[in-house]
Amino acid sequence: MIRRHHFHRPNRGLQVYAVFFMALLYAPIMFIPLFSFSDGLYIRFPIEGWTLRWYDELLQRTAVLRALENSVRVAGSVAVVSTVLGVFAAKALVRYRVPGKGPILGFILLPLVVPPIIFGVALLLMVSWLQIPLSLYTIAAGHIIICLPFAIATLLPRFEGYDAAMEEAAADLGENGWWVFWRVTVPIILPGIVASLLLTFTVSFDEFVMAFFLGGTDLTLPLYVWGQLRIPRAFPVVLALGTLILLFSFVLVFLGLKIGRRGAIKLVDRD
Amino acid sequence: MNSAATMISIRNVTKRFGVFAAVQDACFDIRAGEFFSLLGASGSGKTTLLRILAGFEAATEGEVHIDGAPMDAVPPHQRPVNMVFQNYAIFPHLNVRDNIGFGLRKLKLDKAERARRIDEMLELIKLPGFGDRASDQLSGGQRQRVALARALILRPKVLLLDEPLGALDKQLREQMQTELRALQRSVGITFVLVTHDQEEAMALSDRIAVMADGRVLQIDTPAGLYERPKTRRVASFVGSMNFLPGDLAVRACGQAAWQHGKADFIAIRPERITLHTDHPADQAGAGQPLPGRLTDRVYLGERVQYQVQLDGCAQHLAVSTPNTAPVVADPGTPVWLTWPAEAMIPLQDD
Amino acid sequence: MRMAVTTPNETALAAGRGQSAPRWLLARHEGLRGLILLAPALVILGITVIVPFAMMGAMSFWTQVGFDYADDWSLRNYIEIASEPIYSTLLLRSLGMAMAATLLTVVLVYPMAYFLAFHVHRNKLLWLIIITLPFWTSYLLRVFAWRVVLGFEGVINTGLMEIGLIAEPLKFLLYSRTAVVITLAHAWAAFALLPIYVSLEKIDRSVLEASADLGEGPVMRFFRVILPLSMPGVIAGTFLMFIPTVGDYVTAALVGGPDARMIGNLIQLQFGTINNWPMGAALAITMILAITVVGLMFLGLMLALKRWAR
Repeated sequence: MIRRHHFHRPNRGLQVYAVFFMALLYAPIMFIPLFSFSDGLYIRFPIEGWTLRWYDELLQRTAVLRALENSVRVAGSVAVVSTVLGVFAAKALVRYRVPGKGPILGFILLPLVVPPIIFGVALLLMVSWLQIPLSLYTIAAGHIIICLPFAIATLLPRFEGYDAAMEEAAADLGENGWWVFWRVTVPIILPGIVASLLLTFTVSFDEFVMAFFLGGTDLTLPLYVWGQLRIPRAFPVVLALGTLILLFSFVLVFLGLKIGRRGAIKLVDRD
Repeated sequence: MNSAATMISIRNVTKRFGVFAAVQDACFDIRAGEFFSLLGASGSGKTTLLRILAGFEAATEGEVHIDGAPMDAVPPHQRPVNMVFQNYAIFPHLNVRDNIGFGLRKLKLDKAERARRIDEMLELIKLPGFGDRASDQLSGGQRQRVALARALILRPKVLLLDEPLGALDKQLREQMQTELRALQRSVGITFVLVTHDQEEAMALSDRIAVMADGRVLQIDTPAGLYERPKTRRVASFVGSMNFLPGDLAVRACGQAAWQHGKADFIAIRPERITLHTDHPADQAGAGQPLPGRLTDRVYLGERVQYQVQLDGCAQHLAVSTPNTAPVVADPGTPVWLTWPAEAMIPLQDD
Repeated sequence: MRMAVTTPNETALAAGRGQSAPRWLLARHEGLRGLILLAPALVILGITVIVPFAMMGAMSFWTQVGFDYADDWSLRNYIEIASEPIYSTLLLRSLGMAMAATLLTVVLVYPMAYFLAFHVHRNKLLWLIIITLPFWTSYLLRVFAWRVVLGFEGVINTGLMEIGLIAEPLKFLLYSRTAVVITLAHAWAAFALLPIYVSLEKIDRSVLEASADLGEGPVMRFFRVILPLSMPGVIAGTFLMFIPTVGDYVTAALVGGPDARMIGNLIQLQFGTINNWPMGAALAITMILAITVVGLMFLGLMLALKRWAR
């Protein structure tokens, strides 16, 4: 249904601005894939020719593949841990009369706002104080701080979107807490869980600052990219790698946002 | 039905949320096989009491016994009661069949028996062939039936119903009232209904507990509540009611017929008052007709409702006559009111 | 000799409760059940956020001696920060650049949020997803993209030279404060856009009808109704963008030159080449304090404005 409302008449100026805005938003990013196919060693116009050789070169670098494997391992475990923690925390925050609910939520969401460098150096301090060696594990610990707010922000609306009576009805029909969780809670919030896994995976996969401070000798992909940025001759390969990372991230996030929101809207419509 | 044994025994139950007492010292029994209603406005404590029976809330004080067993330490999933929720709480991820069969998991039935039981329930709620419908393809009335079937399939000792008809429109509500009553008779299970709608409670229940501010004001049959309310609040909550100072009312029916002694208030149902356009002849033993003036007339179809202001005082009385009576004059007309002595209900201040 | 006396009855009761007492507690205390569910998240955040912060606070009062620390609990680091102009210069510059980027973003983003809230009727979800999509993906690559665009031999310079508008590359594009501000604005735009959009979307459409009914034209309707009602979103967006950008160091490192260094770069150096961790800790804490002070001043200003507008 289209609302044809007095205040909703199309505004030509705003439409033009919207197009301009979207162009500004995406244009800089799009130069990365554009130049990744350029034959020249330098990023400059005019583009002299088209090639796939940077991708070819990329795939022959074992360091890239190792960094990719590290990133997937870190992001995979961070996604699972923060989503599981997020499910419990979101359920508690929505369903129970928890004392100090507001401050607790604020505390959990804090990392969305606080500059990541602060968390990075603070964690680095603790880790070295306790003489824990820097590794993929310390990176993952840092990523959980950053991913937990996203997991909870994705899952909270799912719990708010359905009636607590669903769980009561299941208990009333004879199921204990464990079965209520698996037979009712999980199926209903499943889109939220999937969305949270996809989003937190991407956030961890692409995260740089925490990894920069907390990483040891094992590199993640963003750390590898950072290292290559100091070598101008390496730019074309970085562009090829960046193109693949962006493509992968865009697909995951698009799916995550789509699944997360669509289910929520469906649930709301039902009532 | 009076001979039946006690199914639910509520002993001095109080529920406090912080300092607020949602239920205060509730103490009554519900008989086996009875259709019992908790009637009250929102905030009267009726839903809290129902949730205590279901086990979703724990009583702060007092205890509940169901079929002789204390329920204090029994969690909801182990109680012999099932519930129809206010918005039905139909599981959105399951179809009709799986919603109805949800509680059967623990019985470990084989496939055929499970299917047979579900079909039986679909038959009972008059939705055969609806088993494979998705839950979001059901109308309000169908959702209500599925919720009923889902709860009844477990053959509970008590079925709890939380405003089960509140979400339906008026016509469907009346139809469902009839069906619900018939269903209760056929399955013979004790029903406990929570409602704010006094007509619904009257139409369905064997007995009704009227609640206000967390307290049970009166428990009686529908007729008993209507004809013999004990307090002014009950009287005004169930049906409409006129309240008169005692002496004034006695004057209208004649001292001789009045045997109740002194009462603070007299309550009279609007339909028990007779409206006269001419001064009625004094009859032996009857009191004087009360003169007044018609101030308003509302045409309700099957009935006509009048407002009469009594001469010499600010008191207004509502008078309701069947539409078969000759339609009386317009507002402003002088009228006389009479009523029989037995129509008067003496009330104390509460 | 006295012994604890228990009647058989009490013993039986205690035994009966012994197993069920925790369950009983859980059943009665919803808050407790909630806290147990929250516990894993809170414990992990406690270990990874609160403990490190406490340690950072403690270390900021230490001193670096060679490769070791002296836990002499002095204010030396803070005194140095207060007295050496380099620190205040960097801090003020960071705050200033973050403010500029925030202001630029809020101004650019507001019309877009307005368009989304009032003029997009179909596929609103898709629009929202497409606008927020870049912000979920690699920050590093988005900043790097600007280096590609602004570079000495970058998109803009070589593009403009190619079409003959300029003969020489424009040197101010890369390695300048302008470059950092532009990049920050681009990188964090969604943080400012979303809260503004939400506050606009929440405005009850009948309020607009009422103001039109009461005789206000479109312009006054915007200034007297829409803008005030969307201010909470604007303020939230401002905070969400301003706070993290003050501490940013990736952007300045990639597209900023020597005179675009921010406090974040200095903090990073303390933990890197300079290797003076206590100083780095003190700088990080100073930065948090500075952000808090500026944030409170901004809130105060907004409240004063609100009072004045009445």
